[in-house]
Amino acid sequence: MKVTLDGISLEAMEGQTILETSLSAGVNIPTLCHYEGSDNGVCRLCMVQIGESGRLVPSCSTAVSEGMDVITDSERIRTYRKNLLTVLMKNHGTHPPEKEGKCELHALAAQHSISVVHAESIAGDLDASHPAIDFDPSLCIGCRKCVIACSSDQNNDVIEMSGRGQTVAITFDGGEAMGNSGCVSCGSCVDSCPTGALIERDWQPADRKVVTTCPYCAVGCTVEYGIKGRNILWARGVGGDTVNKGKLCVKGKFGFEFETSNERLLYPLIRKEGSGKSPLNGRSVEEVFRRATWDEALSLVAEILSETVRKHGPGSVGGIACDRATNEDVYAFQKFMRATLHSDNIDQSATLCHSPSAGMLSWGLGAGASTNPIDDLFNSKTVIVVGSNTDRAHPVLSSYIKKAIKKGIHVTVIDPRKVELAKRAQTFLQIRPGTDTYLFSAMAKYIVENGLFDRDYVDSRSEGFEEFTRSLGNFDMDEAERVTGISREKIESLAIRYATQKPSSIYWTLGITEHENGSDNVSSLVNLAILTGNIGIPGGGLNPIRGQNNVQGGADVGGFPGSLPGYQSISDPSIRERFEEKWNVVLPGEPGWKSTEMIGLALAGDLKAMYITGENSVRSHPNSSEVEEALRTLEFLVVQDIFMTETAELADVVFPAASTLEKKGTFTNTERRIQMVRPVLDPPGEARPDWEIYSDLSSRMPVSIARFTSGGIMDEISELVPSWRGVSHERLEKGGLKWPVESPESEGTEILHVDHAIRGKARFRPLSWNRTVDNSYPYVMITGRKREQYHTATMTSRSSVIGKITEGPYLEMSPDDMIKEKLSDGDSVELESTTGKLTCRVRANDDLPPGVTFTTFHFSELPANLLTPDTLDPLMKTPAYKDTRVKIRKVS
Amino acid sequence: MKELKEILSGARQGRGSEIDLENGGEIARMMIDGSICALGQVAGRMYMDAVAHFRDEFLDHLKGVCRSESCFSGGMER
Repeated sequence: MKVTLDGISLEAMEGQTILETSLSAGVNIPTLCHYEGSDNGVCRLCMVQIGESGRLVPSCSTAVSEGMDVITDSERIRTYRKNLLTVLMKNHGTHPPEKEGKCELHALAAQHSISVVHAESIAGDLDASHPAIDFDPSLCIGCRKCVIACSSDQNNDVIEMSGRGQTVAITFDGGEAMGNSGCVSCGSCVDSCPTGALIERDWQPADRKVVTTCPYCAVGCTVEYGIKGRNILWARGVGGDTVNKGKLCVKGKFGFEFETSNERLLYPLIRKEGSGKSPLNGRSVEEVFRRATWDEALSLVAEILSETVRKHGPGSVGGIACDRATNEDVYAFQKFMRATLHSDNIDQSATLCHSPSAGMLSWGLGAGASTNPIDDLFNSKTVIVVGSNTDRAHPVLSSYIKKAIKKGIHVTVIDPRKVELAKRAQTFLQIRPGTDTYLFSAMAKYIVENGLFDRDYVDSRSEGFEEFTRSLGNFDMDEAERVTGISREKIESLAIRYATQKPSSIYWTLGITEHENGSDNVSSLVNLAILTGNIGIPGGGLNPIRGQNNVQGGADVGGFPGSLPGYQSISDPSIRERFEEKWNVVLPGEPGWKSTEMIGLALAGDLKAMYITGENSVRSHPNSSEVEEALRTLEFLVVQDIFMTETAELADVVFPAASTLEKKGTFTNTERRIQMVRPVLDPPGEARPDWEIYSDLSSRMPVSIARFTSGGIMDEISELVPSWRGVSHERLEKGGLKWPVESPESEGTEILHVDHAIRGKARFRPLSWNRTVDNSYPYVMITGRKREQYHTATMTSRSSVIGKITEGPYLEMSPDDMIKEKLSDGDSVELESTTGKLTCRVRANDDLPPGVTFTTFHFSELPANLLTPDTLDPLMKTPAYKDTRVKIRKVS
Repeated sequence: MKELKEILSGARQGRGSEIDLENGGEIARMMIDGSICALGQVAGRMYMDAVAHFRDEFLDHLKGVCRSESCFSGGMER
């Protein structure tokens, strides 16, 4: 439609506000309360005039209409704005001088030549109860942005407006001090506050700012860092066409101090002669390692790896790629392993988490990735969230699920624990741990028997239906109730809803995959989606929410055995030939070993050398003491990391890597969105980007992987991977792209399998149920995450703010079990599993059912993986972290 | 609103100046133009009308005179 803006005619889109139209035309209208995606409209500063003598309307909440004549700047408007700003300034308190630069009201007042008149009295006392955020009510102008941020956008529902008229004020949980409220420290209130009433306690103006992708989970939030010298001062979520639309979680907001920690590895280290391979155990790094030059350390590693391959064959060397590193890093590493060392023993951390998801989605549909983008959730009528404490592990994605619940989209949460989303969802089914295959197969059986399946989809776009329906004979509805602990009525009700209230989508994380039958669990979900035709449609789909920032990308670019970049099979001679021609080498023709298998091979003496990058295997793999022994058994271990982890302590050579805040490259998020990563600071000391290290190392060996640039690596990926053909750093600088991006003209792919599954026909996988439980270990121990911590806490433990927020570690138990075991909060217990024992404190948590316990694996004080057995999913070799059987004994 | 209340309370106590009344007019105009709801708009209109129609009485108050002696008498607030 046509509108006139300050006398200039321009095209506007139906539904746009005047403010949006003005901003896209480059006309700035001052506002203090505008919140992207919300028509807040309370500050009244953005008023514009309609017609020459017309009324004033708020531009942020007035839609444009055909022929509208808008005046954004006139004497009347200038007078109006000046008067309003004067009143606001008069009632605005005094900033600490160093923080005045955060106040947009001050900036606007200065622009309108209003001298600063401070309030005569302070409206309330400073609330400094939060570990990192100050709230000064005297600076609050009541714009409601923090309320929208907390309650409508993040959906944490802590901040609200209380009182009426002149007594109106923001409150936390109805009047608590901020630090005592349910605040989750996401910082969205701080980022949205236009006056600095809510502000980081140590906020300072930055000298420069860099926008990049968050180094934590695979939601892939866009973050802006404020920098001064060699320090990151603050982090802020970025809005617009980003996943997070301005939001962050506590890790993204406050978890950046690892970057400048004085514990960073600065120089290459070589183990001193005679210093035994064992944990430091109080010894200093200098006692055990000596500083080396890059030249010496690289030459040594090149020589020993070459010699190992010569003596024992390429299969005697294994590598684990880092999924916190960029696509370019992982690509260079797999090329180094395959081309330089001729070994396909290259894996990544997906084997410890979502490998069953990727594997079984690929088997059933042809692509090991989420089918639908995150914001497509709002197109669903029915949503199932299973085995996912989304609110803790993926807080920003969780905010969208909470919003969907508020919008009335029917969300069913299935979990052994009554997790935060379960408390908000329309339906919660408290399932017995590890029985998901039975539940979803029973649902499939009910759907088939009652003719609720999508016959068109099944007939025309799937295969294996008959064999699948026969396999459903392995499941019985009454038995389902006994096995899963969920009533038959509820199972049937969910089956009816999922099959008939379409589109239906399923979201899951490691509660599905980290079981001895993790692949079956995933397949039971894939089968259900194929059966009901919930694939390839908006609002449908199968969406594993990935954990690490680049675990999706790591596999995409070839970071797992048997899979060359782009999931191209190394066993296929024609594919191998293409890579051999490009790389000018001969490649191994058989798939190598997974990381969990490499540990066993090292222990048996079959694997002689390992190159582990950015994985703290000792703490993150199951059966930690065996992992430690395996790594000590190796003839040669190279660890490349940013900190001296428990794994690096066992290394012969340690390479200091640049962190992901120090290099250029890309991450691929959980919805297949490839996004730019930009250097925020220079690497400390002599630390270098991973890909540079591999390149330099290979140049000292018979086959070099070539001298690269980060952009050059992406060009090579796009040349070799058909689904990334249209990807380049130049394009990604303008915004992320979701693969497949099959040409430079393609805008990427929002939804996979639209007309048909990528593999051709969607394939059912027949399943069965055969599970025995050792009753001599009466409790199930589930491990998982806290909201503010990340994996083995190598990064998050370096944040002072996170340190103040974190409680524990504890083993959480149901109150009934605490009574049964005669335990009180804080008591110590000995936990014993088939692999080991450890002592820890306990705490009651009534979110847990009897028989189920929970703890995290973040803390060295409670190394839970000492207890997790190395029971692996037979197909994808993923450990059963969510189903460790333990005995509990009170110790005095 | 708070600003207008202060100006009106001041006049009722014989405090303030013509400039304050003019400033109040600016604020009232702003309330008429910019308030979200009719209450704010009407409150601004009431001030404008009061000062327009009873300007001489306002000016008397600023000089310390309340003709009806309902606000104060001899400079004392009732």
